[in-house]
Order: sequence, then structure tokens, then C-alpha cells
Amino acid sequence: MTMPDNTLRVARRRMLPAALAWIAVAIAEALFYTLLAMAIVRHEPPSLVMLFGGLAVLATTIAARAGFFTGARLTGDLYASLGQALTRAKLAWFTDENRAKLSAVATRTIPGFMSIPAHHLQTFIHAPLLPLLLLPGTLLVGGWRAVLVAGALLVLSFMAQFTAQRALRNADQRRGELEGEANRVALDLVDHLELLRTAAGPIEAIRPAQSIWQEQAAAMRRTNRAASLASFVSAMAGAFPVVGMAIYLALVAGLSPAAILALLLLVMRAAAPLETLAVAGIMLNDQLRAARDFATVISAPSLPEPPPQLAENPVGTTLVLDKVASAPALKGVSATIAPGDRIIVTGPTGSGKSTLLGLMMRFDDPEDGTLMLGGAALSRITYGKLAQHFAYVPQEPVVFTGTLADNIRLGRPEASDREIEDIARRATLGPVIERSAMGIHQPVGHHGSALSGGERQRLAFARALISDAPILMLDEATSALDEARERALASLVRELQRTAIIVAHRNPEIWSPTGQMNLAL
Amino acid sequence: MRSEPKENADAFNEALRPSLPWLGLSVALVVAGGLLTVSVLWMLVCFIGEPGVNTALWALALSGGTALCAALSSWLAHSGEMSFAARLREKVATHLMLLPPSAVSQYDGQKLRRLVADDIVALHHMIAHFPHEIATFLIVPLASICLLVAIGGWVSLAALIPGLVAALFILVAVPRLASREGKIQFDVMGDIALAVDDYARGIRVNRIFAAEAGAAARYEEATQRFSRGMVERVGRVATIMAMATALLQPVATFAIIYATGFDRPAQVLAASLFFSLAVVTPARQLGHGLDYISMGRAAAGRIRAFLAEASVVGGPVSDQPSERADLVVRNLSVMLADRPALAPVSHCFPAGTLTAITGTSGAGKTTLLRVLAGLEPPTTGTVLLADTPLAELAPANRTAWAALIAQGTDVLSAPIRDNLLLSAPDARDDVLQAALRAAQIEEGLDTDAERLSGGEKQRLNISRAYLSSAPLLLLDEPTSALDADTSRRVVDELRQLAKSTGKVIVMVTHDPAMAARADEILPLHPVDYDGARR
Repeated sequence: MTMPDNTLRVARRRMLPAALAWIAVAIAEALFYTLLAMAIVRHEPPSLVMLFGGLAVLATTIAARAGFFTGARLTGDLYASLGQALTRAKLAWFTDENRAKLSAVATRTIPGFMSIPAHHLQTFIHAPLLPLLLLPGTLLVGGWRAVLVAGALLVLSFMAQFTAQRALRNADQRRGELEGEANRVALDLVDHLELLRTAAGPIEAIRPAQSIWQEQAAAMRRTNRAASLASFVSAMAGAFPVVGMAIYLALVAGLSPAAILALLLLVMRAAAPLETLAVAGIMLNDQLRAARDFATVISAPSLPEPPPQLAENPVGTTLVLDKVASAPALKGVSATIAPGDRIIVTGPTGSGKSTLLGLMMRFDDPEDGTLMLGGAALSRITYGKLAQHFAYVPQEPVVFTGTLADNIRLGRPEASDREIEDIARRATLGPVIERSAMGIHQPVGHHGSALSGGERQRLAFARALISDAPILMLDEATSALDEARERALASLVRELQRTAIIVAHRNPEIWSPTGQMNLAL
Repeated sequence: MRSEPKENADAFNEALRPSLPWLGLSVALVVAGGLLTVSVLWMLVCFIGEPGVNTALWALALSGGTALCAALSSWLAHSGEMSFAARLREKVATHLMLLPPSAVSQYDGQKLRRLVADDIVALHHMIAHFPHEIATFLIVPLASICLLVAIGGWVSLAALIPGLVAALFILVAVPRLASREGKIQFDVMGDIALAVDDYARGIRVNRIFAAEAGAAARYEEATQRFSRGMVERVGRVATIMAMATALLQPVATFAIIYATGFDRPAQVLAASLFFSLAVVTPARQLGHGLDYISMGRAAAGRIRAFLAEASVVGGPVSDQPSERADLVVRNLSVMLADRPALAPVSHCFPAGTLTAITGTSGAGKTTLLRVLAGLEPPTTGTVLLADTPLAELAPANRTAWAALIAQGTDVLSAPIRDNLLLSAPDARDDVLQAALRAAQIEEGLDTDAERLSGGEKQRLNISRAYLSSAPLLLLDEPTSALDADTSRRVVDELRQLAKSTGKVIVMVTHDPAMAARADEILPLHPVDYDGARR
């Protein structure tokens, strides 16, 4: 899964200065430790050591500071990329699984990326460089044999660390998977709460979840045992170079205490980053996984849109369907819908009425046939322009957590409070407005749960009516309303003289239709 | 019958208690390991004075001991926190199942989802790592300081100054900055989560209305607030944080040690260098440490608050109901958030009848059904089914007495069979198919329920009515997504079901034509919030 090119390019450009800074830090630190070691052996005064110490501290300060800023700015770039991907993505991509991924990327992955410039660049650049740059110093203090022994110890230690950290990484991954599954099971309970506890009862409903969690607990125990063994190896590998060097020096004998100290010091400093580097191995995988999650979401499929120069502009608002087909139910539907028409779409439940409305609004492209608006094929019109032509009330009203006004304003953001209240009252929401002191600014609860089903529908209706769009798409938009209210809304639609494509719930006559599309044929 | 907040809050401690011995032992091992680490350094100092093979081998053995302690303590800590997380997750899920819908609607979608997933993760992360880090930050540095002073005298503490100043800054100043910013950032992150979730959930509506408005703008606003906030926050502390980071590196400490002690014997210098490092090194992990602690504590607070919400625990009655039973409602009313949701109602629903509950939206029809189902506790009044008060039923027994089919078209993303087995786990395929037919569905049992149209999903849920053995069936707007003909057939089948089985079937509908087809109609009227009936 590849990320769009410019996201990668921007990210890389942001991180380059920070990367270079950490290389400078590694060099400065290596110089310092080498000078310190030599000064210890030769009993030299500390002025040169202090100077290079100061330089190293300065270099580290600069690099760390650059890293912090880069991290913060990077999130801005990544959120912008994500926002663009969302507006492009086609409707079918928004499955439950992808929505969960989307949520995770927005709230965890992207903020997590901040730490790449701030911490991880340090780990991946500074940590491997320092041991290498310290070897010349070891040569000067201890001679060739010491360098070879030190080198061998470091390599062995790193191999052991690497193996241990890989095992820890796998354990971590496994834990993450198990945790993710446990979370998914729990989230399912939340998402289908009402269904599960009314269908299966409050105790039975969680039994399947409980048995999954038990299985996972057993798997977790196995993972933990493996992880502990790896921790042991890792800890040993950390101490190994210095202690090993000590054993070698004891066997060789003949070096002054100062020289022994200098050599142990160099090996100690060379060995310290190995642990960090190995830990970075785990983080690398997390980061790669995070990058992959991000890439999945960013590259969500979209419907091809024409470039602005080639885009066609609809002239007028006549909708023409020509042999439109889409599995499983729509087979060769043709129709012409002129401005001001009120068309009832009929057919038995399951004959594709909702799908047809969706195709007209280009939620997806049909498998066969064409749809045209104002003489231009839908696939040739830019989506922004196309969307301006429609106002949609879906079968299951979508209400957002917020206030009445917020939800209605979605139809036309510049609408004033007065216009919102006006349309809400005309959509028979008067009693709802009256029952709270906050009027149209009353909260509607989690996804509209403080409103009844009928009230949510009328809200969705008001949202569609306040918009300037010429064509109203009503998909069983009055299914939760009593007949009197339905008539009120139907006459409102007539009054406003919008083109309307209606999947009617009961008697279609109240809409005073000008035509009909019967999908049963 | 509702539960008491105190008994609920204890649920949290109950989940934690069994893990405490493991965690305690883990901390003890960390302490032991820390002391062993210091002793390895001590061995090395001795070695520099007298480089014998024995001393070196002792250092090796002590390193092995350190590693063993580290591994064992990690295993114990993870075992303890894992089992805690599992117990807590179960308690949260169980509690959620028993919460009245009015309480659930107080939590927005993201908060609920976070409670059962992220919060538990944050909490057990904190428990797994926090005790360890406390021990690492205290034991090793303290022991090292003692040895440092013992060998090099008090003046050797001077070398620790840059490191400790930096550490103090990170420990004290940053949390203060962080908690101020943290709350803001947390709210912004909550906004981002909500913006993204709303965007995806309402994608159809968003697609048509989105152009410059609504969800995309909210997303952009929330994310820009976040990144701008981050850049500002970073800008304020970046330089000082960077300096603190630099001062915590061994370079600064070593430079000062050498400057102040370059003329001391090698062994003394060695002690200063090694033990100073042991004091300063743990401080470098501080930056990571604090974030998860505050997150873990916040999560614990949220989970505790959630568990303290009163749930509907019912009563002790676990008998099975008789097949035919009358439903009697006496003076039933419900107040939710100080607003009357259901005006006082009394009614008798005889066995074998289908009653339609009608009323304008907001009259309390769904609320009444929820009380009858035992989900929502009433403010006044009683519900008696076969002379048994429904409030006395044990929760595990509820669906055996009253089965509620909720409004809407929610189905599991699974085959139709799995959806139906929810209501009747032991039912055979032929029984399931009969239920489907009675609800006017022609699809097969293996069809994926998610791919059904809205009307078909609704009928799938109605078919549960034919699988339930409960003497009381409650249906909330069962024909809202159906065309007139299918609706008529569904209602007629329900009426037939009531007659033939003797069940009480109560159906909420705002459709007068469907209501007219029932045996009885009970109209509900909404209540003004000053109590007057309209």
C-alpha cells in the first residue's frame, strides 16, 4: 500500500534537517568521549574535555529542539492529507472495519507520528553511529587487540539484543492483536447495544464476548512467558560488553588503572545505545504498522472525477437515466426527471429504490448504463457541483450529537438562527423547540437519542428543506411520522416547488406526484 | 430496582484486588534487581583498583542476577495487569448491559466506545509500568548516591547538578504545563474523534451537504486546532526541553566529574563516573513516563464514574412465566433529566390481544415500551405480568418474560441465522425459517443481514417475535420501513400470533391505519414540562 507521493515528500522534507542535526550530535559526542578517555590515561587537565563537552551539549540541544518542532508541524500536514482522502473516498469504502481504522488513525496514529522527529530520529541515527565512531578511540587507548575484543563483544551483544528484541516485538504484536480483538468485541457490544440486550437479554448477550476474552487471556499468558525469557536475554546482553571487557583485561593484565577505566568507559558508552537501538526495533514495527494503517486510510478508493478543465457543467436540472443497472436489483432503469417534477419511486421492498437514489447522487457508479444531470454525465461533473443539486433525507435519519440548530444548519451553513427556526417550525418541529428553554439550541443527545424517531426524521427533513439544492431526494423520509404530519411536510414540498424524487411510505397521492417510476417491472 | 453507586464503585476495586499480590511481588523484584545493578557497578569499581579474574567473574554473576530479577518482575507485572484488565472489561460490559437507555444516551458514541476499549488499555498500561518505574527512579539512584558519597565525598554530588536540575524540570515544570495543555489537547482530541466518527457515520448525508459545511469543516477545525495548539505548546517549551534533554545526557555529567576530579586516583574517578551515570540515566525515561500515568488515571476516573451509574439490577425472581398472562400497568410514569418522558398511565392488556400504542412523537411511546421490557426503571407505578411485578425479575430472566423488538434497522453484520440465534440460541433451521416466513421474508438463512434493505432488516427483527417464548412481546414501530401491503400482512400475523398463543403483544405505531388493525388502541399524550397534559 503506497502513500500518495506528495504526503511522503512533504514528510521527508520536514524531517531532513532534524536528521542531519542528530548526525552532528553523534560526531560531537564521539569526539568528547574519545578526548575524555585519552585525558584520563594521560592525566591531562580538563579544559579541552570541557570545551568538547560544551559543544556536544549545544549540538544535542539544537537537534532536540528541531525535532520537537518538526513533530508538531508534521501532524498538521498529516491531518490535512487525511481530510483530503476523506472527501475523495467513495461511499462503499466506509465499512465498519474501515471506520474503526479511520478513528484510530485520527486519534492515535497521527499524534503518535509526532514522536518520530522528536525521539525516533535520535534513536535511529545517533544510536548506531556512536558505537562506530568510538572504535578509533578504543584503538588509541587499548591497541588493536582491545579493539577486536571490544568489537566482538559489541557485535555479540547486539546480536543477542536483536534476537531478544525481535521476540519481544513479536510478543508485543501478538499482545496488540489480542487487545485489538478484545476491543473489537467490546466495541461491537456498544454499537449493537440495544439490539443485543433486547434480543438475547443482558446476561446472554455478552456470553460470546466472554468466551472470546477467555481464549485471549490464555493466549496472552503464553505470550507473556515468551516475553519474559526475551527480557532476560536482553538484560544480560546489556551488561555483557562491559563485564566481558573486564574479564579480558583481567586475563591480559599489565594495564594501569587509568587505562582500564578509560577502556571500560568507552565500551560502556559504545554499548549503551545498543539497548536503545534494539528497543527501537520494537518501535520500528509499531511505526511501520502505524504508517501502514495511515496509508490504508489515505489511499481509500474513490470514484474517478474529471479534472476541472475537462469537467462539464450541467445546464438546467433535468435528470436522465439510461438503462441504469446495478446488482442485485436494478436492471435497465430509464427515466427523465424534469425540474419541478415530483416522481414517486415504487416497488416492493428490496427492489433497489434506495440504491437508485444513491446512484442519482453518485454515491457509487452503476454497473451499466448512464445517468445525466443537465445534459452532462454524472461522471463528468465535479462532485462538488453535483452535490449542490441535491438535498437528501435518508431512510434512517442521521442526526449528529450537538444541537437542533447544528443539525439543521448542515443544509445551509450560512443560514441564520431565524431561518433555521422558521424552517424547523414549518417542518412541524414547533413542539420540540418549545419544550426546552434553549429552543433550537437544545442538545439532541448522543446521535439524536434525546429525540424520538419521528422527531429525528423531521429534523432531517428540515435540514434538507433549508438547503438551496433544486432536487430533493426523499428515501422513506416520513416513515416514522403520522399521516397528519406527513401531509404537512408533503404540502411544504409542493409549496417550495422543488423537484422531488420520493420513495413514499404510505399513500403516494399526498405528494401530488407528477410521475412514477415502478421498479417492480 | 436500581443498584447503589457505592456497590458499583466497589466493582473497580474488586477487579483490582486479586492482582495486587502479583504486582507487589513484581515491585519487590524490581527493587532487588536495582540493588543488584548497583552492586555490579561496585564490583567494577573494585576491579579497577585490583583487576583480578575473580572480581570480574563476580560482576558477571551479579549481572545474571539482575537480569533474572528483571525478567521475573516483568512477567509478574504483565500477568497481574492482564488479569486485572480482563476482569475490569467484563465488569464494564456487564454493567453496560444493565444500564437504562436514558443513562446510556448521556454518553456520546465516542465516550462509550472509549470506555470499553481505550480506557481499559490505558489503565492496564499504567499499572504494568508505573510501579516498575517508581522503583527504578528511586532505588537505583538512591543507592548510587550513597555509594557515590561514601567513596568520593560530598563534593562528588556536584557532578549530579546538571542532570538533577534537568530531571527536576521535567518532573515538576512539564507536568504543570502538560496538565494545563493536556486538558485542552484532550478535549481537542475528543473533538477530533467525534468529528471523524460523525463524518464516517453520516457519510451519505455528508456527501450531499458537505461542500463547505458540516463534518469536513468540523474535522478541519478540530485538527487545525490540535496541530496549531501543538506547535504553540512546543514553541513555548521546546528550547528549555531541548536543554534539559541535553543536560541529561552523560556528556554533561562526565564533563563536570572530570573537571572536578581529574587529579583523583582512578578508582575514585571510576566510582564518580559510574554511580553518577546510575543516578542520571533513569531520569532520561521521565519524558515517556508521565504521559501514560495521567492518561491511566484519567481513564480510571472515567471507568469508576461509569461503574457508579445506577444500573437496573432487578430482583430475585427467576421463575419461568406461564404461557398466558395478563399485563397490568398501574399509574406508570417516567421522569428523565427532570423532564416528564411519560405521563401517568394505567391500563390492562389482556392475554391473547394485540394492542397498539399511539401518540404524537414525544408522547413517551418508546419510553413506555422500555419500562415494560424492564430496561428503564419507572419513576412511579408498577407493571405486573401474570401478577408478578416485572421490577422483581432477575436480569437473566427478563427476556423469558418480555421480549422487546427495538425501533430501527440495526442488525449484526453476520448471516441471518446468527441474527436470529440471538433470540433463540437452540432453535433449529426449520423453526428459524418459519419465523422468517411469518415476518414476510423470503431470504435464506445464510444471507448476510447487512446487505438487506431497510425494510428487510426491520422484518428480520420482527421475526424474533416468532422465536421468543416470552408471554409479552413489545414492538417499537415495527412497520416504519415497510410499504402499506407488507405492513398490513405483518400486523395481521402479529394479531394471529397473539390469538393463537395467548401472548400479550404491544405495538407502538404512529400509523392510524395499522393501529386500527389491532385489537385495542392505547393513545398516549405528551406532557408539557410544567406538568399539564396537552
